[in-house]
Amino acid sequence: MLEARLEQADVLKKVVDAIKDLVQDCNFDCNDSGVALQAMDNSHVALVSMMLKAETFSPYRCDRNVALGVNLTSLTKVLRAAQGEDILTIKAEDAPDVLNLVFESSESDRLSEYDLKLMDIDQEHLGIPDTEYAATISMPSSEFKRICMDLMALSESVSIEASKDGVKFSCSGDIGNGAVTLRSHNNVEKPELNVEIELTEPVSLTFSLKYLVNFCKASGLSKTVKLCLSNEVPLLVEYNLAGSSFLRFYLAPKIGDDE
Amino acid sequence: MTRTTKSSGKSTNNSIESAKSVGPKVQLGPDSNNPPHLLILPEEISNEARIVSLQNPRFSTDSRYVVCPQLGFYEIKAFTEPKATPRSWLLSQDVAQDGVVGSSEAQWEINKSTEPIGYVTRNANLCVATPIDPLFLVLTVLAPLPTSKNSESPKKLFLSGDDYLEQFSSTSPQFRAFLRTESIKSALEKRMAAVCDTVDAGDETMYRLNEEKLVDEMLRKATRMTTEGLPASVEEKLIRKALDMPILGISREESSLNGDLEVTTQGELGSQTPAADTPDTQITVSSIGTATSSFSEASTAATSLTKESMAPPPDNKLLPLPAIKAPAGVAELLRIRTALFFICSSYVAPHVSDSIKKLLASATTTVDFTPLDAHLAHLAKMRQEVVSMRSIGDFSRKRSMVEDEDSESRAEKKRKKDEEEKRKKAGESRGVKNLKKVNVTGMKKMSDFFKKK
Repeated sequence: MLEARLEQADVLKKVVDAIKDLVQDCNFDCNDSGVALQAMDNSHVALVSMMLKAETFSPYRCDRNVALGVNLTSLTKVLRAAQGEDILTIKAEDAPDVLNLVFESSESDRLSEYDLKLMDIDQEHLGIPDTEYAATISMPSSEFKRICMDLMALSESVSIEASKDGVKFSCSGDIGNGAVTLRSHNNVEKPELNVEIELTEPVSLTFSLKYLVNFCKASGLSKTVKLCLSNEVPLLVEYNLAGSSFLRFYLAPKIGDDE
Repeated sequence: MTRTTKSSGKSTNNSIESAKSVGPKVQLGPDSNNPPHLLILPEEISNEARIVSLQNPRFSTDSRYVVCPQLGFYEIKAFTEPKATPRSWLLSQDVAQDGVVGSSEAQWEINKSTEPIGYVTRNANLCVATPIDPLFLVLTVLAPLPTSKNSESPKKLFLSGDDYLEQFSSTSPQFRAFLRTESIKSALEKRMAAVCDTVDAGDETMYRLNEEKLVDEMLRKATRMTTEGLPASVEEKLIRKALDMPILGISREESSLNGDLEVTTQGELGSQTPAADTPDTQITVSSIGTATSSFSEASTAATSLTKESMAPPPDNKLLPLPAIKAPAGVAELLRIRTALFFICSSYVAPHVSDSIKKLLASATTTVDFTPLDAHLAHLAKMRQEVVSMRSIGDFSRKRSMVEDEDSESRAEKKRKKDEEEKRKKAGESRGVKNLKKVNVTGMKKMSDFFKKK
């Protein structure tokens, strides 16, 4: 039996919104430490990993490990019925056919309840090791989104170069080329606008912009985003949620010189 | 007047006899334990006629026959509706009916004053009494099933007509009463004489079955059957088709689509009907079951002795059919043989019909079938050739028949797959769809970086 109450339905809404354009069906793996999700896109070049820790919910109860196979498009349809401030409770049996979602309006006494049919999804689970990245950049999530959207207008892929001078996002396309460079920046009044760059060695990698734009849909979840790069390994784009919950995206770099 | 057993309200008619049970108008009454049967009897049947159980000459089981001292023997044919099309007879009393007899009259009067009498039968079975040659019936005692298994038939003895009739009636106690009727007895003895060697011993005549005479008698019946023309369905299936010439040479110059089609259909015919084409053409019992009602009507009429006027089978000569291409007399021979085999398979015990066939093959009979056999063998050979020619030399069909069937199942599979895909697409967001178009060249799969757990 799973029962998890989320003070703000918005959290789940935004998480699902961010993932649904990347994967179609996925398992929500629930255990006593929280709700986890790992899924890859159809091409298997990107991976999303989400963890909503038990403390995100109040209360959280999960007697047995249970995998909830969900079609994210369907889940989006149900979650659309919830207001951002609604209290969301998800419930499931031990061997569930349906996922029960209850939305309680905090202002009015409105209570809506939905049952979402579940499905069996056979997914392989990848083990992701803790990696020491060569470059770790944290910046405002809105800034990252803006860079991606701007460069997207020019090209399909972006090259990210991290050096001691700063981090340079550059691209070149048919109509021309462009580049955005960020340097370490400390804003005392608004710490959420800080840009921090930790570097052990210079890194230069190319990524598909379409995927990065997709990742940016999670910008609403967190004010800051962390990019972690090392040569020859996937880029990690991490949004930290309340507590130690997180939403992470991994993207394989483009190797070889096309474009 | 014969009558079937009845449950409650009763009535009889001159020619059609039926029984009815009284029931309330609206509410359905319970099923009668002894439901009425509809039986059509000959018009001038006498009051002494009875329905008796006699041994069926073909199947050695008890079957019902109508025996009338004046008219002779009738077998009862039941016509059954197929289960798929359920129908019923509605039996109701004709108000202006006469001929209501016996004690039922009073009852009928009472019923008429209160409520109408009607009965709806469970199914639309109809029994018809059709004349049968008593020869077939006595054949069971003239040629009894050999008791010993050794092929040497025991020496046949001459027996008096009374002895045979005694044996005959031993299986049917009801028939015993008729043995005292002179007309029945003489009719049976006359028929026995037709197929037996006879010896006069004093004032008694002794009989012994002569198989050659039997074959001649059967051939006579078969010939008579064919003079009126065989029923249309038999003519079409067993005569015309069996004598169909396979089309051999199709000139390639004018090989239009039509020509090709003709070749294939001809070939198929040849390959489908070898069983019916072989010289041993024989109507099996199962084929009798499928034969139309006109088939059995006509055949029984043909075998009848008593009924002189024979109604020609319906729509036999209505359709002008192209003439059968065969040497003179062959078609007629085939008709006779088909008729004979039909008679054998419906009215003659298997062991007797076997010996009849053996005698036919030995060609000591009045009708010589050798030209027919020769022609059929010739046809079979030609068909064989057509089939083999087609399998080697027919390039007109791009795909074989087997593949055609395959393509059907392929289409089915494709449709299923399409449906599944459609369903999958419905659960796919726009973002996922767009990501499919992204150029992922040069990007390694995630599993190359992260190991499976």
